[in-house]
Amino acid sequence: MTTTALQQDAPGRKPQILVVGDDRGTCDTISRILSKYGYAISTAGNGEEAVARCEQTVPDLVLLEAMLPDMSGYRACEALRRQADADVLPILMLAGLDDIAAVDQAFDAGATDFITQPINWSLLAQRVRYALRNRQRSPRVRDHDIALADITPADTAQAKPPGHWNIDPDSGHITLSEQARQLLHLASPQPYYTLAGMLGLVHRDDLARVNAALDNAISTGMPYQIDHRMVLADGTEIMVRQQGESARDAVTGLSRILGTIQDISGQDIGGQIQPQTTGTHA
Amino acid sequence: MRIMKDHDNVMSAPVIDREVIDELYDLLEDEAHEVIQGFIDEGIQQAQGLRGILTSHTHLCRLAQRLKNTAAHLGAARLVTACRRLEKAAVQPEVAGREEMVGSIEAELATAVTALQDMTPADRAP
Repeated sequence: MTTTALQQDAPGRKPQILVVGDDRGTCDTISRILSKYGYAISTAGNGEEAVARCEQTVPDLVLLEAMLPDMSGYRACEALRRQADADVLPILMLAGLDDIAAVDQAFDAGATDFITQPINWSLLAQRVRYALRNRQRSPRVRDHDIALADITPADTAQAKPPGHWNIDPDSGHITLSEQARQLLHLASPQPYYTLAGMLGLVHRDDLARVNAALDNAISTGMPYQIDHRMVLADGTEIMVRQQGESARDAVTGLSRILGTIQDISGQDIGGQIQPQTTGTHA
Repeated sequence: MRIMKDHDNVMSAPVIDREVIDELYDLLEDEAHEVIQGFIDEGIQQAQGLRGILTSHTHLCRLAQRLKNTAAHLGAARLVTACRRLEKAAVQPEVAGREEMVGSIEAELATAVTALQDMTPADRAP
């Protein structure tokens, strides 16, 4: 019988994280760093082992390498998602910084988010904390009435899959995944879009907040999460959740801002229903 | 927007990017040395596997990619460049030139390992 980490809850329990991968150095470093932040870590060397472990006990979060020796990380992700009680399980996949296709594939396989390789160790714990906080926003999780450290309730259970974007701050060019393009109703795929063009879709009352979050991510390298409105070309207004972080190329030293965008219109976020297609932008 | 740009030219990349090593020491303190040695051992093992799979596109690409990540976690910027070159070559049908690329990786790895082993915590910027 499957038990969830939540069902094993006890006051002060450490969130349980399963790290899956066969790069020993990477897994070991992840484990050491997250342990220092108070997480309980277990590891699995391949996808089959990860699936078997989760059949016994579903952890609070899984960190999954895309490249595994037996089944690919994507197949492992799909297998984990099929398990009972794993529908709200945050699965963060490790994908190469220069591998846009891998990021798309990760989302298609049901990953909650991705972490770029090489890993920005300073931001790792924050990314995990964000994902755990979002997990807690699920009503199913909320029903257990537990309190993992620094997690607040809201709702993402009905969330549509996120799209991802990648900004080159040097050129101001943005590349968008297929899902991001569809979310923003951008008809024909372009090799890149412009930052100015994308910011032009942000609701004018939210623009200052979005710019500030982006500037802060670029100047400090700190990740951010922000909910804001966007006004699409046909005048439709949607509420989106945007997450971003700075990722630095080891060779060129250049930083890019990578992130996700998700349509959260109509969801109950912290007790407030977000607007859903609420007419046109004045 | 501030643009973080340390090196415009790949050839000007340092053998080891100190910031990466400093970050590990900042986060892991006494454990950092062990972690760095773990990455070195893994990198050596990965590099040793390259010559045996020169004609296997998928395996060579995968191993080059893994070594690239290991190198990046050590801040070994030139080694990352050498691995990236092999990773790209591995998906092409031509096999010629791969052996030289592996030779270049071995040389960069040796240089990076020496540089890392010569570093002590006392070298770290205050």
